[in-house]
Amino acid sequence: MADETTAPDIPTQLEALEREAEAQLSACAADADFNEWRTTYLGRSGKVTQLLRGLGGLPKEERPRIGQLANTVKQRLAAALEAQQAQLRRNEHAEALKAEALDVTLPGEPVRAGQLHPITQVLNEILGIFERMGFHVVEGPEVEWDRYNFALLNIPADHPARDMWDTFYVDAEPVSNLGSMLLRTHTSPVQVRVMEETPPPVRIVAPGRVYRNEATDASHEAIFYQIEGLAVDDRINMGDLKGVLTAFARQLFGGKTRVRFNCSYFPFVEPGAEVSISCHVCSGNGCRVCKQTGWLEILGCGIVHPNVLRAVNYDPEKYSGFAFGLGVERIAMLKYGIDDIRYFYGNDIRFLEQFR
Amino acid sequence: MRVSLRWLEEYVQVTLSADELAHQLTMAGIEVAQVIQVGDFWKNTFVGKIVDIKPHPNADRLQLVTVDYGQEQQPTLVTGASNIAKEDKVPVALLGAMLIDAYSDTPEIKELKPAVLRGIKSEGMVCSAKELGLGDDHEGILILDPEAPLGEPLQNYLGDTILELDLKPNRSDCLAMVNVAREVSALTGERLRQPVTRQIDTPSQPVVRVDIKEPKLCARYAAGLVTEVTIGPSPRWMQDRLLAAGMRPINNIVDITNYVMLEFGQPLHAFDYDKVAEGRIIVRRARYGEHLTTLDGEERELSAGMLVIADPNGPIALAGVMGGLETEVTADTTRILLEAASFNPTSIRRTRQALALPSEASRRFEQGVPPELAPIARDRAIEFIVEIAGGRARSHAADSYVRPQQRPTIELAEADLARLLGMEIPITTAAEKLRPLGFSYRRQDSRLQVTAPLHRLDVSCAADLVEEVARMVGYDNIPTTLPSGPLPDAAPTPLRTWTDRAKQVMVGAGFAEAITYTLTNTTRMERLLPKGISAELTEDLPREVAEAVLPLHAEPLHLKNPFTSEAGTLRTVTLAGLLETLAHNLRRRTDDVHFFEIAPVFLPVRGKLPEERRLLTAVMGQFRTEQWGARVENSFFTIKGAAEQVLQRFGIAGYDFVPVAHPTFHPYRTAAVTVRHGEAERVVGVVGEINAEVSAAFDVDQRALALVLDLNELVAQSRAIQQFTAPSRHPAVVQDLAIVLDAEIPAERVVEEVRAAGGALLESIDLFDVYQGPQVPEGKRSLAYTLTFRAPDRTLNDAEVTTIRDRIIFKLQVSLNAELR
Repeated sequence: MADETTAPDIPTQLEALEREAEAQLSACAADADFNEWRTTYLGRSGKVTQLLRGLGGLPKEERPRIGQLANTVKQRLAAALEAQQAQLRRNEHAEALKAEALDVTLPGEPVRAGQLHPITQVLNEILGIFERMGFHVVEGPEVEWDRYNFALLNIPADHPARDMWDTFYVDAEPVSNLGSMLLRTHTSPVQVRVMEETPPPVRIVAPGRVYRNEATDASHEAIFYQIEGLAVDDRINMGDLKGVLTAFARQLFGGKTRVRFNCSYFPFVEPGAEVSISCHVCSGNGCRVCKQTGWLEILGCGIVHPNVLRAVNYDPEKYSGFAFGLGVERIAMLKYGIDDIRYFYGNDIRFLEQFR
Repeated sequence: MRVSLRWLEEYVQVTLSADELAHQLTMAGIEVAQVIQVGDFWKNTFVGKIVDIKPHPNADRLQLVTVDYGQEQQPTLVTGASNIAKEDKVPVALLGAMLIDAYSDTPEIKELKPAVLRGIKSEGMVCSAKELGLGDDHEGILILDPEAPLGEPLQNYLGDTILELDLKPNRSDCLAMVNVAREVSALTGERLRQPVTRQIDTPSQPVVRVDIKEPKLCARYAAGLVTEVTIGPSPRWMQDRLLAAGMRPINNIVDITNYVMLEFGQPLHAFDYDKVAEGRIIVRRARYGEHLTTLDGEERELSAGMLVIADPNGPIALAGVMGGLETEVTADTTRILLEAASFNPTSIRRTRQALALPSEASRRFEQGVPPELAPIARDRAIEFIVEIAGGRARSHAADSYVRPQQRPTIELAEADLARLLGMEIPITTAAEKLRPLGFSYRRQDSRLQVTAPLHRLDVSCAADLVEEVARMVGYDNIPTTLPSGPLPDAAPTPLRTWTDRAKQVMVGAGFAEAITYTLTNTTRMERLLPKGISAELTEDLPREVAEAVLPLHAEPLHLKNPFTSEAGTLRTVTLAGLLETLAHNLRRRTDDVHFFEIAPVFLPVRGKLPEERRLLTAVMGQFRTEQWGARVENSFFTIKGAAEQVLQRFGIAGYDFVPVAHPTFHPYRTAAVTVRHGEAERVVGVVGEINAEVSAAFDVDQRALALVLDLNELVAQSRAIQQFTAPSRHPAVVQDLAIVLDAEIPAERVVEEVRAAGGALLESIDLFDVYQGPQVPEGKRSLAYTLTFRAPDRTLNDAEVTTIRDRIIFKLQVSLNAELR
């Protein structure tokens, strides 16, 4: 008879026991508490096991069901224990992390990095554009002979065009055929040096320092950088010159830049031209930078003069070429809005650091 | 060249706005630098006539002037000027007119307001040239031409637009109004109206004889003669034009010569015939010791060879540069000998340079004046003289043209146009473009035989004609293409590539790139040596350092014509410039100044261009700033690290740092950088702390560190592509080794011994501790290394490693007397 009365009781008791155990578990706060709880409820002689001792009194067919029920309760309690322990560990960890709190608004650790001089940066950018168009970079000496700086460039001695360049002469004996020693006034001598040594086709850009004997002010320096370009083959023409320089200007100043060629004069080219771009500041509407004209003059160029070709034994009937020369500082000044060329050689770190 | 549009209209009608004309001229190669509007601010200002002058009742120096300006009302004005008389035409400004304040330092335009002067109300002003912005003259009232139209707004009568031309040396022909007019005519299609000249020939005149001794320097000399002239001011219209062109009126004769020069481009000179001995003109070179007092009153010593105009008694003018004072036209002159000549440009240029005497005439002669122009300009001037100064003339008094030159014909082929411009232009189109510019031609099929107009001395070959056609077609109409030719074989030069790479390394190492002046002076460079120390070094290693990167002993190249003495020498060292830069920046902020530069020095080579050796130079101050302003000290090892980084990135196999005592540096904190070059070690640079005395000389008040490397040498030793090595799949055995040894022994010696004893299985040796102090005996130091052993093909066992380690320890004991710590 006892069987009939106790059998429905065991699930009820299990349920009550589970609720009790859960209540106790939520009060556990330390490892010792957990161990005690485990012994109390899940241990070999814990309360759940104790309860199951009464199973023997149940009808045989009831036993598996109740046994399964008891195991489920045990598993649930074990899982609850694990979860509670994990939660406690997380809480402890969270405390520890809080102790490590940082003020994330403090500045980061500075990365030590220098920077290239703005002239180098602009120079590299310009050279890169021409290199991608198949030009390669050549350099020449800064101290030159009259022959290369002038005579072979169709500027004979006493030619009035010599007044276009105020020249520094070196105190050294002139050499016959080569003339006086001087500081090159432009990078154009590199053209001649390359053509003397290389048969056509030629496609070069020649960067470098040049010198002018003039007073220094906001827009003039005695020393500055130029890039010379030269392309010679059996079909180069003025259209190609326009194309290369237009592509260059658009890469450097943006795809919407308009490029204007007007007739001009340099003794080593004929026809000669000056190139202006639409002002990148006002898009050609007129502003302070372009002196209200909408245009900025950026370089000089032209078709290589037959006398220059002849001087390097290129047949001007067969070969033709174009040449151009641009001032790097001028481009950098336009690009960055720098209003005084003297900044470039002042080497003030506060200026240089702006070009990181 | 200042081109007055009012004047220009005499030769060609200007149909475009001034701005549009300026644009078209600029595009065609005649650059207009500026468009100046004369009188654009004038209003309420009219041509008036003085009808009455009365003294001011209350002031001695003021007058009351009543003027007629074409209206019924005749206002009375107060003026302080005294150069006026009844019937004079003058500019009359009424209330509301805008005038330049003649008493202000800056040209300020002010509105004319009612004023009461000493009790008399003035209803306006009569104006000076300065008040109208027509010049600097404020001495008196601007007296207008008697023919000036009464009552006309002054703007209509005197207002003008000036195009300021910035001419390139090839287009000096546009230093003449008629040639500018021809350009305008060609560009706009308006008809050109050239002035027509005629010769005047009054018989029985005194004789003029011209004798050209130097036909190479004077191709032609045309002379004219006018007697019974009256010297006086030139007419107002001529003065106005000269002023507009930027020239000062002098007297009628001089003004006429200047006017015709501006008109045709032919400089003219007027002599007082009575002061030219025997009426004889001799064109010859100056003789040694000859003198001439020029028009500016300067007595000048002439160099033998300068071209002069002489009479039988001696030089009377510097040909084409400046006239002589003695034969100058004065108020008493009655007979004029007029010179129109063609001089050799080079000769004129040299004389002008030697005497530093630029003039409007020399400028034109230097660019070339065609001999054909001489008689034309002479005849034009003689006509003006007779008309303006009166007298009897013989235009063609003399004309010596020793070797008349034939104008060459130039062939222009249609094919050349296409070949050079990339645009098909029919030869007939080309001909149509050339004709209005004054070119004449004969056509043969697709070719033109072209003769340039006499003023276009710049046109001498087919390319010049191609430009003429192109600028008339318009550069903007030439198609825009890319080169279609073959790509040349070429590779970047190693020096360029490595320079770029070295810059990247230095930037990565925290240095800012500087660009310093390559021009300096010896004083600035010699600051690198302590006072009294010779640049000639006797010991081998310091001398090798000096020769490689600090050649202070080399005599630098100097400039013949420096702009300042600060920058009159080509530098032989780079370090001085960077130390100046360091000092300059340290003055502005306390810390963290790290600079580098890659740039040449110039080392003289007899009879040749100097060697341009490219050096990598770096400097740093004593401190750097790390996180949150922490001030960390830079040491020798900081800058040595940068040096090592460069050497490693260049892939240089064997380099060493050898202690060196160079006077620029701290004797015990400096190393020569050497690179193995076959069997020999070659010095390629130096790294170290700057000698305190040297730092002080540069105004650097803290320890400074520097590095200088010869980049050319590094490039020669560089290996561009490091060959790949497969990482070993076998584990390494890592062991520490600490030894105690004499503190004097360089650490590099330890590394050498360990490497020698360690053999191929010793993969690396890395220092991790240096100690000197109470824990080790006096005079000793402890060095601790991490040794990494690894075999490429197997796992090393402990016994193998122990054997090697024992061998290393034994070697260190025997060779360096080191003890295991």
